[in-house]
Amino acid sequence: MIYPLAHLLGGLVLLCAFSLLSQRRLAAMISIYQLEALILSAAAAWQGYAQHELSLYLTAAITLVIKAGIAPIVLRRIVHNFNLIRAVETAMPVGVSMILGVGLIGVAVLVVLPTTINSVGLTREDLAISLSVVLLGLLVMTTRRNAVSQVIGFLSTENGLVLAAIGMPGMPFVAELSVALLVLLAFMVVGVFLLRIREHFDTLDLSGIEEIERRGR
Amino acid sequence: MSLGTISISGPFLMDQAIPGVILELQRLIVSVLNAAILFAVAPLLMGVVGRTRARLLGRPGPVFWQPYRDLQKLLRKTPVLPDTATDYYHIWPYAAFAATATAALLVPGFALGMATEKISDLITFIGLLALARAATMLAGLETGFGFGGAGAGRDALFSLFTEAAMLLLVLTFVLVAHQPSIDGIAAEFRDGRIGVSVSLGFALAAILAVALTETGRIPADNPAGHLELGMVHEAMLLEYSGKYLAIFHYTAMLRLALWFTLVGTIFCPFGMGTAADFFSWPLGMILWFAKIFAAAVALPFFEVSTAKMRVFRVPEFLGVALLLGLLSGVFLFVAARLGG
Amino acid sequence: MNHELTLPIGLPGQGMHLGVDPLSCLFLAILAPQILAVAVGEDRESVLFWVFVLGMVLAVVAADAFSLVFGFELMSAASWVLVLRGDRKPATLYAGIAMFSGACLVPALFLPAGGVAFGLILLGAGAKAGLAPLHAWLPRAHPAPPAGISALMSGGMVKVALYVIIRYGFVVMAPDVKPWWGIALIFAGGASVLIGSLRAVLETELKVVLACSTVEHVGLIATGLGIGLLAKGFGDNALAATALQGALLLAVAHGLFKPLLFLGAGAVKHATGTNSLDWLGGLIRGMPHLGGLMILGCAGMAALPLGPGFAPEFLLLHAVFGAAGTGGILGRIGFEALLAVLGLSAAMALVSGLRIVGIGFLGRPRTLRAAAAEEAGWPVLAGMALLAVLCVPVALLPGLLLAAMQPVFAELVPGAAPQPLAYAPFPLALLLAGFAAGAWWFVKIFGARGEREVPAWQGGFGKPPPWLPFGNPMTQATGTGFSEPIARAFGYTILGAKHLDPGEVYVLAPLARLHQVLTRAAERVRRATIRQRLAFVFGALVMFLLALGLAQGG
Repeated sequence: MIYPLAHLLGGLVLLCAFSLLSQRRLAAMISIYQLEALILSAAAAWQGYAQHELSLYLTAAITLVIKAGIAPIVLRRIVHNFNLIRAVETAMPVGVSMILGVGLIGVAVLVVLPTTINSVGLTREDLAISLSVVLLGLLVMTTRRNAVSQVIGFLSTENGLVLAAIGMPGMPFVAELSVALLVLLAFMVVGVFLLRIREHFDTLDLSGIEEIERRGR
Repeated sequence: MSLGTISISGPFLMDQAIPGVILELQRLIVSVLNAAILFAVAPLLMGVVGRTRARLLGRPGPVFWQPYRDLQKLLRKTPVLPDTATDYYHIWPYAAFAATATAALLVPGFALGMATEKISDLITFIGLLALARAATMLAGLETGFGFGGAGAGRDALFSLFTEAAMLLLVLTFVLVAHQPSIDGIAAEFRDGRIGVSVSLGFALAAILAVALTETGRIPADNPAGHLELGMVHEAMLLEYSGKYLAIFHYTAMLRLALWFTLVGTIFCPFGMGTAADFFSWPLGMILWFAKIFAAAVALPFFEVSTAKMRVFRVPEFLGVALLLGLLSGVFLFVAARLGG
Repeated sequence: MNHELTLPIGLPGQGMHLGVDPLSCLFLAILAPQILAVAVGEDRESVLFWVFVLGMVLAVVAADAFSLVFGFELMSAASWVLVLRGDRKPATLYAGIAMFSGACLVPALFLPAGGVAFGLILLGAGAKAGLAPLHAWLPRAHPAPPAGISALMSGGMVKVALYVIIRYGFVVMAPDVKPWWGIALIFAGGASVLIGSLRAVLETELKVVLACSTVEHVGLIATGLGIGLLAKGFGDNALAATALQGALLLAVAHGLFKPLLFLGAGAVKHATGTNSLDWLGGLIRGMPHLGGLMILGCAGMAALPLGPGFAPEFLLLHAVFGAAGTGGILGRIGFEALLAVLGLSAAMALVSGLRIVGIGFLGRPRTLRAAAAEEAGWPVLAGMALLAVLCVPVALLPGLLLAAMQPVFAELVPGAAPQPLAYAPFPLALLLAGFAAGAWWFVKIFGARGEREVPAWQGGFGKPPPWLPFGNPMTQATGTGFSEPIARAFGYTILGAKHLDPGEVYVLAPLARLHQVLTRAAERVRRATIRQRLAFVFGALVMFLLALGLAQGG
């Protein structure tokens, strides 16, 4: 019962990461990210219960507060302040990016399965899911133009890392904590950056910056 | 080769055959009862959906049994026949209803082991629903007016994705339960031989998307809206009236009840009875009602919280369902510990 | 059941060996009804038609490679002349493909059994059957000749090509089977299924739609054969039998409903002067019998349950399920993708079948010719009715038919146990009829009596002028309009913005360019002055002498 439920929760995280790809609107992306963080926190709590590990409960609590609570609120405020509520992504056709996403999941599965043939059978599925979440987050970061959606992709990538960490028995808590702090730091930096970008260019669309960069060369 | 499952046996030995005959009889009774309840309850379910939806939107809404009244009213009205209709105009409503009703016979609601157990293959089920859809689309093309053709074309587009996604889901079920019949899959789930897994989570998400589209609900289609540009199912029936429209409306209700039952039976068969055990029927029936009415209340909650999509956004929505179906199979292979 | 007959003609000293075994009996049984129907319906006076038939029959009953090739080429040549009588341009293309397949087949049949030989057979017979990527000629050449010949080409000739693949893959070269044979067949089949079904939805010419649907069905049969070959190679006899059951049952069903549809398309062309769906409509008023028969044929083409096309589809899907349940993970994911392709194209086949009925036969006439269409002559109707009657047992009693075909499966996959078919159309048909009758009775008792005929609501358009008795044709969906959503959401992705077949873009167009280059070179040679020619000959002589000298010196 332990592993199937853990896998199911991991699968739901993957489902959220996958549906991030299919969304065009920032508000919907933030909601899905919040849901993803919620499920991740539930997964961490379940692993804590299963492994009798207090630190995993702590991970769950941190995830719940920072990622499912504060981060979405801040993101929503950014979206509201910069009047991005109706912003629509036009970087890549949604269908193409979804097919790419399925391809990436396939790659993750094909990479994980042979390399972990000797490890415990049940962690392999977990690893495949986590790697898929990481890759999908990276895909979101590369296919989106808007800075906020790139941030969401980054956060989703980080969720994948945490998912891998909680699934491994004996992963030190310090590592997880440092990852979480790193994210917080990156988040703040990006937030400040966004403010500066906005002040200078009056938009968050990165294509303007790319244009300037190209001219500079 | 098998021609039928209701075997008509020749002369038999009394002492051995009588329990067998009683068992066959019980299976037959369950089938008939199942179908009769489904047929009777279908409009009520639609009434529950309609009233809950109205309440959520802040209106008092019609009474629960309003669909029965609507059907009766339509039956009493003289049908108006368009002058461009061909001779086949009368056939399509009956064909759509009969195909849906036959599909309804294949899905067990409260007890497993019905008389149709052996032919309740999921592919047959998909095929029968496709037959009903074909009849509806031909009804839309029948009188040659613009909206019918447009609605049929859109329905055709949706059907591509729903059919492919359903086949992938059937593959997942077949690989999990090692048999393709609805009855057998439900039995495997009920008896706890299949645990929760990632694949089934994906499969559930995908089948819900397929069911929403097949029953013509938001976000693919709006059953309450009569805005011509957005209609799909409704657009095909515009030239039908009176008793023929009543048949089409009733078929739509039956289809909704059928999909509720199918999802409930496959993903939540716990507590379902067995045809051979008479005393397990009441509990199964109570749970069945609980399942379908819970679904009928939950559906409006989902509907009022989302907006109807543009027609050409629906393929993206269904594309997600298709890819989830694909992923559910892929993770099944992962769980089977393949690849070395 | 192995009867051999030696004819005194043919190769000197060898003669021609003819013989029948269960496999060739099955294919004779597939050919016989359509030949009879076409002979009743059309074309029985033409000598070429009978030469074409003779070629097909000879290829099927041949017991040696020479007779097989002789029959095959006789069939190709006769059909080429028949296509030529219809249209010159596709005939040239067809001649090229026929020569290509002959050039592949002739060496293959005399090579020792093995990979090279089977590869050549796959290329040669596959090109003739219209397997992707060599399918682009089929939707051009099959619609060109008169309807009866089209019917026989689509229903019979492609089957003969598939018969060659089966004969060599399963019987003659059975000991040397390699897994890649099956995989190649599955890939070619899957691609044909997808492209054929998509083009069948998008094309507007009735006969082209039917030809594209033939590409799809050939692809389905090839997929089944490929799974069968693969499973047989791995020793999974039950799976091989299921796949073969699906493939061969589809060959039988397709041999019935496709000629029926082609004969009907010919009758439509005869009555209205056009085959374009965008110019037809409402034909069922003027041609009720033909319309009814066409609806039956389209039900088979659309693989609707209780129609002849569903049982094979059912078996093929189960074969894919079985194949996806065994083997390595890459293969399993591949079979899952194949299943997605089959699902998409099953739905597209449904849409293309519906489109023929809904746009061509229902609705309002779009032209005066369509409005004035008269019922087809009795020979055509009789031929179609014969095929339709034979469709009924395929549709309702597939179990019995499969039992009758058991010797064939036993020949192809020795030791295969027949699986019981879990699809029982007869009880389902009874239930369906019962429900329809019940609903009819209920509505009759409780519903309002009588009907009132009123002008149709034209969707808000104004009253049509009096010289348009069936309303303005511009206000109803055309065949193009009906499939526009699919074209927009799906067609552009696969076929590109101009809806060009990949088989034409990547196979025929480069060939055409190569042809142009070669022609230019030949033209330059032809236009050379006498001095240049003399120089050419002289140069050649010097080269020859040089080569001779070098060879002797070395």
